[in-house]
Amino acid sequence: MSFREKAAWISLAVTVGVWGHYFWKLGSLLGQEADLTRLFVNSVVLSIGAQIALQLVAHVTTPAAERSISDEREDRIESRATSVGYTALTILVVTLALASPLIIGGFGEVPHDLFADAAVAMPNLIILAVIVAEALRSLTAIAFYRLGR
Amino acid sequence: MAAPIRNRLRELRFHAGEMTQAELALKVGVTRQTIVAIEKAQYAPSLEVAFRLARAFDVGIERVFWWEE
Repeated sequence: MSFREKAAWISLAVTVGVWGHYFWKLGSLLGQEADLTRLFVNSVVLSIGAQIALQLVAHVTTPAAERSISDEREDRIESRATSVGYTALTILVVTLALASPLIIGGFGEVPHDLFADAAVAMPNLIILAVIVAEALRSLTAIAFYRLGR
Repeated sequence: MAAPIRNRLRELRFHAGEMTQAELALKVGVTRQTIVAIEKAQYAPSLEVAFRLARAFDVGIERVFWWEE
């Protein structure tokens, strides 16, 4: 496995693992008094720490000569994957913008719903859009690496 | 779908003293995985890499690659 493919796997694992945990935890805190800012900051720190640690492992387990290569096939794969991620991000953000009146209006049916508070809902939905786009970018890159193109 | 460009990299490596894919990759300046993908005709390299591959075996580009109808 090349260094850049390892990087794509690491990005996917950290994105899904750390931010999956964040949103699962957020869901479990619905309607409760909780320090959501701390949960978010912990997730950011954990995400950066895990990325650095795993990238170091990938660095050590890949021969130096291979790490320094700028490979045209890998450049193309990364470019296509970034295009997929960017398109997904654009669609998700535009969808959020169009749905914002509904979100700001609240999901009034549930009285103590955490997401009734737009100040909590909007930032988290934007974070979710970024996370989904990044996961899609990594998945696309991995798929192309596995297919050899 | 595989690219319609075929190659004889495997054969040329064999005649170059069983040169490994990793050795060829290093000579050409690509990853070993890219050599694998080119050999399997999953990936059609750029003209520059195609010329570098030919130069690695000291042959013309048409000895390495051809278009399969």
